[in-house]
Amino acid sequence: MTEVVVSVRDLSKRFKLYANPWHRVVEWLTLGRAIRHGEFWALTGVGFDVARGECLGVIGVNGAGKSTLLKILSRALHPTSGSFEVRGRLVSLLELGTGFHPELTGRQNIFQSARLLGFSADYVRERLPAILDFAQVGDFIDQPVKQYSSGMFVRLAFSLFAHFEPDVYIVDETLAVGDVFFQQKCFERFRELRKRGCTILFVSHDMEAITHLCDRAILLSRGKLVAQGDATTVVHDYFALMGQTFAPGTSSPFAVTPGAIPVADDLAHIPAEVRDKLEQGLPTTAHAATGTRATEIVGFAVSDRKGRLAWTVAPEDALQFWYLVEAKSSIPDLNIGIHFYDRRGILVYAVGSINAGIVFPPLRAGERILCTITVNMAVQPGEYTLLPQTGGLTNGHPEPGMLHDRLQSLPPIIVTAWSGRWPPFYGLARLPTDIAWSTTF
Amino acid sequence: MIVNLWRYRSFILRNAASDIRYRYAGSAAGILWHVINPLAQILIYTLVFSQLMEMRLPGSVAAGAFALYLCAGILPWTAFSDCVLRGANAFIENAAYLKKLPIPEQVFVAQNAVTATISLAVSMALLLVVSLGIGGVVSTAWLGVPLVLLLFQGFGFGLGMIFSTLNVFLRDIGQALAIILQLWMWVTPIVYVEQILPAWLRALAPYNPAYPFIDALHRMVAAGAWPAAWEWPMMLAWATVTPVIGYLVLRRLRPEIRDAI
Repeated sequence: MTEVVVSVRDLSKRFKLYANPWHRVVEWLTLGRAIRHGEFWALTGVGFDVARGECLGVIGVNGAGKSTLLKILSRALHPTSGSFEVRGRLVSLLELGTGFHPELTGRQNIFQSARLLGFSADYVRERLPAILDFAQVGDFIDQPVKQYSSGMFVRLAFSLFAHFEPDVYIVDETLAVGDVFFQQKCFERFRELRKRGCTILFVSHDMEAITHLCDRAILLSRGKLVAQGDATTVVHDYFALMGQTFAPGTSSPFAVTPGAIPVADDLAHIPAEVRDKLEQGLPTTAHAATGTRATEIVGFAVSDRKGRLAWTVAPEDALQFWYLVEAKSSIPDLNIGIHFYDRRGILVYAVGSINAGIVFPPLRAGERILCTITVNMAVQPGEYTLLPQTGGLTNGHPEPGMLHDRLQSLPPIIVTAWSGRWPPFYGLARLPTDIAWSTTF
Repeated sequence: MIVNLWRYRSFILRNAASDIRYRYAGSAAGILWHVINPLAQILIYTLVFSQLMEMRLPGSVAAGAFALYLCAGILPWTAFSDCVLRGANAFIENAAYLKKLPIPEQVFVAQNAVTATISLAVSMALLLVVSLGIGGVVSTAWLGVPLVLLLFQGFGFGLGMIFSTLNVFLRDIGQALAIILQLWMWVTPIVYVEQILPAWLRALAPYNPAYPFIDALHRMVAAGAWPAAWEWPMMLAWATVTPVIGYLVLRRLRPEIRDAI
């Protein structure tokens, strides 16, 4: 029933690494008997199929082999072993603007690129009005592209590719360019192309886009295909894999003398693994250089609701952040807080004990306090950087506050993909919302 | 190889045309420089060698004959040398394309050869005009010139093919080639007449692959005679064998070119 358009079988790619170019000559002269190169396997035994009209997401961390795979499919690289077949014409957005000559006008470049990709001039002439309309570069179309703004350049290049109708498209993260309206237009265009039977291979780090646009996805890790299937599931696997990759190391150069932890009454039960983690201490490099160190975070852990250590969480589920804080001098007004930043560096949420109306008892030098902050992670799936910190008041007010200690370079918290059919909201984070209705107005 | 070159013919020709068009981009005279440059070269040779230095070909008193002899060798040699040297860098210069597009490698060497050949055609046409103007020996043998030039450029393309592949892996080749081509030019009777060579060197001349081409051109342009009979098969052989070797080298190393570039 479904026609397979792209089929990849046991594909592997080895790069030979030579320390010195003459080593290659040595191999030539000895007819390959003397081996003078190291090997790097960018892909090993990758296999999958893509059916006509399907959109396949290709995901993986940087260096997982995504680009190598796509370059092989677009025949820019030769595989070392294995085979692949692409039925029909393939156009890759990796090539966006590659064929553009800066001295040629936009119009001339359209035809030049078409030739490069093997489309005839008539084919382009037919689609020219649509391309120009989509690109919105106006009169600049007859100016050399060296005079284009980078936005115009990309819009023209993208329009050009979007209006060729190959059987298979390889779409790269290039969509991240251009303003949001242009991006929406691009997504719209892809949906349209798919309806006409275009197959799309979509590579992106934007998991939201992957789950929205793709039916299926494959996950590459260190050159191996580690998961394939339904896009949402594979995105979950990706976040799980990220969580593993970023799992905090267990070795710690900074040991805390284990002792009785002063526990607030409602924290009577501390899960064993959290306690271990807190007692493990933190490396000295974990502390930001700024800060008075009037108090110090000597232990830090993140757990899920059930008290298991965790760095990943389903959206709308809670994470509990555990702080073990030690006063280095007398502190009457301790404030313990946390900041969350998203991938673009936007502060998504920050809260402190004082904001929450919590007042700690005054601490004397050497005294410790254990505190937990539980946050419902009602945010979009993705990676979030966290900055746990302690501070004091300035003239009785938390703003601007006095920074005591801040933990930096912690691995990011990963919020996994939505599981439902619709995302429960759009935007950065869920704001407390009520929806009421009535039919008798 | 031929099939791929044919399939990309329009790309090759268009790119060669834009190479020519944009080589002098930004200058007021633009494309005219393609005519001005070789014309100036021809006139300077004529003036310097025939008028100032009063060089004459052996057994000839015609003033312009030596200049014609010189141009008949040096203009094709320049184009040939372009073919080889720029050809050797063709893959490296076009790395951006090769890394991303499934375009056959040889296209870039061919594009470069076509560019050099177009320039050569312009200069040789000018040479014909000058030759007519200064009363050189212009006979029907001139009809053979385009064919010899094509064979010579084919030879250059073949060498370009071989070295473009090797140069990807050993960048020293491109550098060494520049020196080798200089040496090659001076052992070939281009700026001098072969009669001044010692007898033992003259005996070796036919083993110089460039010699039959240059000698054939000298005969046709400066003496109004046809190439010697033995020269045709030699020229044909070099013009076909080297591209074939170039193709074999490329085929052998093709899977690694794009990795190494």
